Amino acid sequence: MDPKSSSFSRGSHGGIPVSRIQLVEVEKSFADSGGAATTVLAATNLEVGDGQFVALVGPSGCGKSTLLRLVAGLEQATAGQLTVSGERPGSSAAPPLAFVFQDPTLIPWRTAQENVRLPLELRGGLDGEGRQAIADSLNLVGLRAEDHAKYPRMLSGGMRMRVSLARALVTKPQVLLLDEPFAALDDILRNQLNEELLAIWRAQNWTALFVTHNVAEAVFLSQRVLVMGRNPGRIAADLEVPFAYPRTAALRREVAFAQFCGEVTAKLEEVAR
Amino acid sequence: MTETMHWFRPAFRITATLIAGAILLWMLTTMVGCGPNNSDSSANGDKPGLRKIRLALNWYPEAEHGGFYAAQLAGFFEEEGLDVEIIPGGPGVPVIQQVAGGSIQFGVAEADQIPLGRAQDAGVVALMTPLKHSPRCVMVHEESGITRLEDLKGVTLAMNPGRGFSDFMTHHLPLEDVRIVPYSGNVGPFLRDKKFATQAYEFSEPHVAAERGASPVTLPVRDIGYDPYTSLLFTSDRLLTEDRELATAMTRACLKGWQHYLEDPTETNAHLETLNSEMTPEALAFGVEAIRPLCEFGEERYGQMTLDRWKTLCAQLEEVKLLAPGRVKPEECFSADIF
Amino acid sequence: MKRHWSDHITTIGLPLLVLVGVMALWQAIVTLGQYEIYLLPGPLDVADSMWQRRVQLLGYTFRTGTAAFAGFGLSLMIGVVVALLFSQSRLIRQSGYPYAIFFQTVPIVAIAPLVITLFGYGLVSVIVVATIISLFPIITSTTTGLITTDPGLVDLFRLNRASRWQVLWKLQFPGAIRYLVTGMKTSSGLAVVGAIVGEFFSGYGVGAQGLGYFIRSSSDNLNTPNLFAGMICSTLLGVGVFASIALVERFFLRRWIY
Repeated sequence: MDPKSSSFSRGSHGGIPVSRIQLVEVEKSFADSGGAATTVLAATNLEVGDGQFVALVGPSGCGKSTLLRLVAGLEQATAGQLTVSGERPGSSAAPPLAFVFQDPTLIPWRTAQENVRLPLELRGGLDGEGRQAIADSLNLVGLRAEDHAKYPRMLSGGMRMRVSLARALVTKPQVLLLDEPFAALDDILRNQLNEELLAIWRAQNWTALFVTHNVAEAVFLSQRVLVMGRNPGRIAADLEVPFAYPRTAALRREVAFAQFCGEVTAKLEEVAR
Repeated sequence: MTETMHWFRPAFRITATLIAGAILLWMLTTMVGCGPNNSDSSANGDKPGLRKIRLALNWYPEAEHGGFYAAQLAGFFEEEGLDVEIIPGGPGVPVIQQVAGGSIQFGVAEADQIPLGRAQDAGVVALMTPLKHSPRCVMVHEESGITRLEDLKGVTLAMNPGRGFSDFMTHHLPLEDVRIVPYSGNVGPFLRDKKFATQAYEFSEPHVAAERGASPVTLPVRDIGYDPYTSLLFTSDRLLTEDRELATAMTRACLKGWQHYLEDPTETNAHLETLNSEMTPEALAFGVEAIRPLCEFGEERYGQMTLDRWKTLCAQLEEVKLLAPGRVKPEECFSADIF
Repeated sequence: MKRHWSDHITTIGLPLLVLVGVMALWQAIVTLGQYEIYLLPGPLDVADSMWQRRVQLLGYTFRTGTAAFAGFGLSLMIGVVVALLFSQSRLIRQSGYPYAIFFQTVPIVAIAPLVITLFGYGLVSVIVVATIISLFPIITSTTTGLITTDPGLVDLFRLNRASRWQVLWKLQFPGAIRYLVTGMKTSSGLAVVGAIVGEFFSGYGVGAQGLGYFIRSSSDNLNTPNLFAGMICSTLLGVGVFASIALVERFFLRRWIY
């Protein structure tokens, strides 16, 4: 069986929990124009288990996006060790991971399905199976068949984000990195997409790192909420979310949910002080 | 050197049209409207008692304009009560248009421009001509062995197409195996190629070519019958009718200037040199010597023109279809009794 | 995507309305100002000239158009290749741009003799001059398009381990097409001007002539109605080249013009 497709049924290997993402004393700093170094992310340790859904919340400038980009291999750590599935991100042996950006970041001259096809074109996975994956993936995110051949400019903001999600899922990634993907959408649409995202995650069980500003969204989605602080950016708290899956819209109305959100918010305020 | 950059004006006009025809129209009307005002504002002369007028040349100051400058230097204009501002020309300067429109009183032109202008309702009329014969020629290398225009063959000939002289040549010469290319105003191509011929003025290009080591031979276009008066003084129909005295005075002064220049060009040439940095004393001296035989100076009727010559010219222009038959009356092209 | 019929009426109707207005204004200026024909011929005088010389004008326009199209096509090819080179590194761009600017600023009078020395009198030189004059907008606009990419999309390509070649052909080049079309529209008019200027210098030999010859000789002979007729033909030629680009844009490049 193809190792990529096996990730659908993956939970753990031989019963031992595996760290999918591991950060050991990872640090990131930039040299500014004066030559002085600005630390964006102070020495950070983090382990994310296989198939875990982890949310990152924090004020702007706390380095949460930087953390995501380091994991993606889009930026290199200044110090420390970072591995994804045991490999250094960006190295040729690293397993494919997918990134969902804050903007849909679709190619304007490609239709929805052509956009979803792009990762397969680039990786050389355009076989019969790949073609089937394109349609499956678009259906999975709830894009109606008649919209598959539409250009991004003809789709609504929510639809575009669905296409962006479908493009991330089409490669059957083991790790999905999401950088405030629903920030630009209205509350109702965001809630709806949250529920759909959870359903897909439950079905496919990839490892997720989800960056957001919205505490309720973080709590609703994840198993762990990492509260990040700034100056320098760091993980200030690692909170276990005490709600069982499947989670439905009804959870948002429970008192315990509101209470936990309150705890996270309090932590955030403490950090921001 | 005589017609270096004639393409400039059309090129500019095309670009302008491409931008907007309307803007062009507006510009044209404003330009025309402003013309007379400009001359008014410059009329605050520094020499009291003198009438301030302007004379537009058709090219940069060269030997072909020597007499007009001589008249200024020797004070002939002042004797007639005139303060003349000589405006040097250049590529594509609309001398006929400005004089016909009245913004400038007098101009210098080649004879064929007069009937061509009249055909377009530009009422211009010739007064006197310093050069009785045209210096227009074709310049070939001595090595080509060509000694007559009729023998021009197997060469590349650079000349402005569609002009009176060039159309006349293509009408009347066999020009066997002659490739006609546009004249660029520079002798470079001529110097490089022994099988190259180019249009020229006898007083200008041959000197430049000889200076660069070539042995040029000139074949005058007048030899085959096309011989318009050159560097002639002209004015507008309106000025001639309304202020004949001015036209007469101006003609008289210019005539004296030319006589003076042909007798002793030294002072004038020194002045021309300061006006046109491209001119060397040798080039100017060569120019005068080349012009002198074309003037028939010393004849009693120096400067005067004849109806026969104008008739011939108009008939020639009609023959090459630059002029519609009967469109222009030869006797209207010049003032026969200004002297 | 579908354009309503009223859109077509505006794209064709409005310019026509302007044309009628300009003609009326033009005639009014000539009539009221009592301008002589050598200064400003009226639209009727010009129309008369055009009608009388229609066969010649058609030939001139065709010949100039051929050279303009050829020059435009050449500058399109050369411009895109140069822009692709420029897009590959800042170093190449920095070392190459001054020479690209040369094409925009060089006074064509200065190099026309050189062009003729190299390519001889005739069509080839006319095409070369048209190319030189119309090249720069293609280079700059295409280069700008190639280096202006959505950073998010660049990240996406990197995440998927796209090769440099893939980034160029799947991201940079398609994204540059709309910039290229803008450059082409600027360049099309310049190609016509270039062909006419080329004709002033080089010509085509005896018999066969272009608009450049016609405009120059009309100007030399003070034939203002003919001069205007020549200008109108060159304008129409420019409009024609421009329109053909717009058509290509509409029918073949629609996907990339967003």
